[in-house]
Amino acid sequence: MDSNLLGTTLYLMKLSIKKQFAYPLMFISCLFLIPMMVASGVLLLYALATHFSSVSGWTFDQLALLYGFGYLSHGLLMVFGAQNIWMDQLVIKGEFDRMLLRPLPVIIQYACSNINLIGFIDVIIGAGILTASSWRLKLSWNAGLVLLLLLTLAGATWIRLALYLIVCSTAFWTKRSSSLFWLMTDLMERATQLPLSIYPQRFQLVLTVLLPLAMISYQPVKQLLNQPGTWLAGLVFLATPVIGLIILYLAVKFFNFGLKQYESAGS
Amino acid sequence: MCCCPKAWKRFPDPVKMPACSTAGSAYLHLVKAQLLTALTYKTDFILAILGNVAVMLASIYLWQAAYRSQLLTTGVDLDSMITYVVMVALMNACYSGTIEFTLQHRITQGDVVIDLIRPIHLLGSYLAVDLGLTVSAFLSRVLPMLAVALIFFPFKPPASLIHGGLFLASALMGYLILWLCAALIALICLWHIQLGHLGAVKDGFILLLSGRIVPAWLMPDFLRPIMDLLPFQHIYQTPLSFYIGQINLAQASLILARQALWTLALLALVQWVWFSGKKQLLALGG
Repeated sequence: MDSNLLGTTLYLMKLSIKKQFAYPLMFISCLFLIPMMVASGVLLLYALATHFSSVSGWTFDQLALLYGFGYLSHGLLMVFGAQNIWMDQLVIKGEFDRMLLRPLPVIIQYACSNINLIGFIDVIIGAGILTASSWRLKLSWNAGLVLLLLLTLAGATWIRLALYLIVCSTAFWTKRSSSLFWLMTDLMERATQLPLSIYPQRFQLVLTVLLPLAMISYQPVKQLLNQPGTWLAGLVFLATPVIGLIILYLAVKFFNFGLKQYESAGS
Repeated sequence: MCCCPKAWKRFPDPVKMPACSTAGSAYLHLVKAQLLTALTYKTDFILAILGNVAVMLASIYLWQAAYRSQLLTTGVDLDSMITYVVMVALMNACYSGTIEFTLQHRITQGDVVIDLIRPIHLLGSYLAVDLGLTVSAFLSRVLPMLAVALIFFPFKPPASLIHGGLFLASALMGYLILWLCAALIALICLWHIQLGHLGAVKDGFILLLSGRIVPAWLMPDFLRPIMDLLPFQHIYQTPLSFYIGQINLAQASLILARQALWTLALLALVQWVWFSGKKQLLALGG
């Protein structure tokens, strides 16, 4: 990436961050909203842990570790990928017109159009849950493991971004992608914040092979906890970022393909 | 613009209000118009069904996995728990409402003045629109989800016919409580144009304290007094407790009376806030 492109990209990101401070009440209300959303998820895990000995072999602390790790990548998705929610509105209102006229790739402009600071609340909460549960589980961390974990986290975020980009790019054809967005959100929540072993085998296969949601949190955390049957043991931490990069590349290709079908709304 | 995604989900397109001659047929027309609008976007409601079914299935599998392990404390049996979870999903699909976004949008755009000169009660008209959404949700989402639940899972009918009747009465009041809470939040717009995600904060409390995610009998002890002080448990927990027979008939009248009191109190509060807010309504746009 040449220096002009990098400089312009960083400038767009800076503008995106600045415009969010026009409505501080949005940010303040999310300071209350997001912890409550997380609290309801943690409350469910707590209720399960206090009334049942385990859930599919997972104890409360292990469930919390999985939940925290999943929530971390969710937070990063919200920071860098929240604009996918409005993809159909951008298509309908012809907002891509001015992006197409600028001497900067549309995907970069689109990616920088909404750096959502509120997502960092999710990141902090996810990191807090991950830290607390790994402390309770007495996991031993070293520099290499932390590096692998960060790499896996990046890969998990790329997988999420890519899947959302693919489903929301259908707006270039259908002009409505919000329903698909929410369907993907529901699937991701259930597949990344709960152990996949609670689902029947055929669903686990779909969520591992067809949609690699298992690579976002379930398989990496399973490896971290050394659960038996981890056939991806040792490779999972590296597999997640590799899969993430491949699927992100395909998603960008699909987005650019959809952009060719884009029809301006006119004026 | 920065927003929380879960809050965005609650913002559908604004509703267009028709002009009708008689007040009674006006409300029915609004219900019908909203029903037809919701059914127009077939892809949307098919995807919504898939989403709701996926969420329902995930909850069922989670509780099945939990019950396969050792049960440490007494509670309801697995079949009742599955019934509870399915009913939560069905009720959640029915509890559709646009008043928060619609009223806020119309106040900020100034269109509310057009609604005010119509010969029908403004909040009544919004309730009629939301009832239309509920009817469409019942036809398009609840029935398919119910079919899936009946075919694949041990979904139980109400504990008795009387419990079924009590459930319906309680669910209706639960719907009104939910709607009135949303209306209260929306009416704050009359004083503060931008609410941020105040409505979503309200939804967060409901998620936590209504029994939607965790039934009351599994809640930590410190939360139960808080649940008793607030009306949110009457949205999901109370109707469903009638359905699965957790509330015996001797207690039913007291619990229903408490729920009715909350409904009337919220209704009175909404009316008072609306009456106070109308006096200083600032219409923008034009």
